[in-house]
Amino acid sequence: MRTRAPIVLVLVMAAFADGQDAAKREELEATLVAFKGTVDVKRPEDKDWVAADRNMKLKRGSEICTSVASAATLLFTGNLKIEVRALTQARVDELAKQGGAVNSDVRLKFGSIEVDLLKGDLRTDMKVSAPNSTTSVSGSNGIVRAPATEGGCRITLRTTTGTWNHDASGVGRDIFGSDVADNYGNQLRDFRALADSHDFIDFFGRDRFELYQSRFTTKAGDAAPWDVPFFDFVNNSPTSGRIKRPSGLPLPPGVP
Amino acid sequence: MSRWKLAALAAALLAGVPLLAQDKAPAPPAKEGRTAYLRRLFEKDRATYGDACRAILSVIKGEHTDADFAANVGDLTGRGVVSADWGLVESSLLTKGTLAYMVCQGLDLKGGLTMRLFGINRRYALRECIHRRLIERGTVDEYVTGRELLDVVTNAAVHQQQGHTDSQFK
Repeated sequence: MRTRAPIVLVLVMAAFADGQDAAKREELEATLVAFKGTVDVKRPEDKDWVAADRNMKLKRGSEICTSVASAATLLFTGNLKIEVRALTQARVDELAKQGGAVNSDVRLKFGSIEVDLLKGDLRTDMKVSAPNSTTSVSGSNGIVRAPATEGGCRITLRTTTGTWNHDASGVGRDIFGSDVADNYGNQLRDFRALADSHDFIDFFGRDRFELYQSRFTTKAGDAAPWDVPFFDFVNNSPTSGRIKRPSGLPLPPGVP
Repeated sequence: MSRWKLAALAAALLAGVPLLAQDKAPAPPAKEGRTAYLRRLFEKDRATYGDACRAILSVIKGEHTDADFAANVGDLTGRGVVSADWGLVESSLLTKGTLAYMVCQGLDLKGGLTMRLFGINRRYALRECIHRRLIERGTVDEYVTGRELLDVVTNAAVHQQQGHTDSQFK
């Protein structure tokens, strides 16, 4: 009997702790704040797909589908906005607040979504499950695309809202937007060497080449040379006269 | 073989005849509005010419269309995207060559030297689409799955907006 008492005590404490965690968890709802074109929605209570409407609430398990030249903007929390682009089907698998963090999972069946972080986020982690999906992030804005032939992907977002104080310098300032950082002041660009191409914080660079070997000489929106027709490439190449810039100071006057 | 076994075999064959007859004449698909055809397309093993006409016309017009097959083909023929002498019906299985031809004509892709000199055909169109990363590698007579058609339409829409299919914009 003496040996059983501690076991029973531990079990009771574990159950009590689970109950406390469950009480802290708070289910959230995404709001469809804007849309254009043909957008359909299927909420858990709907038997069939219905046309989207503005300010529609999408709880966990809701699905959204957009047609050609259509898009929908979902506001997950005050700081997290997701734009569902054209020809996309996505499902909100998880959207809940637990403690100071908001956990959200989006299952992307096909198509692409754009994640936009607004002011007030202390730190946001984004994880894309399928390595074949395309991820490109610039600052606090990320685009994830899952081709239909690859079977889609899952996007996990963990957002923590708050402020960060730099204890060493004694200067406190709010961290938000593109300055998103962790509790130690490390900004996301400091993490790029730590993360794999499809690991957490896949925030800078499209692939391993850009992550590890390039010097980020191009902006996120620039096209690669092989993506433009040959003559356009020639006309826009660095050696063409139209955009060629002087590489250094001109020679001093008087030099023959 | 005993008589009982022969009788059972004959009964099984007779019972199978009407089933085979039903397989040969499938019921025409019900009309699907809004985004339902996209979700059905995702599940299809083989995309049809009707699916491609609807999707490509939507991309060209820049808006969702729920028009029927005859109206879509008439519109596409008027734009020179499809040829009237192809003789394809709505349920004809879609090949990569046909899809590439429609994409090139729909996006007004002029192609390279060969296509400019000798004109467009399905083979050249497919090579051009592969070069521009609009379509995955394949052969002209290869059938297109529903998911492949979805990806091609997505790429075509991106190409129409951006002028290329850089993965950043998809």
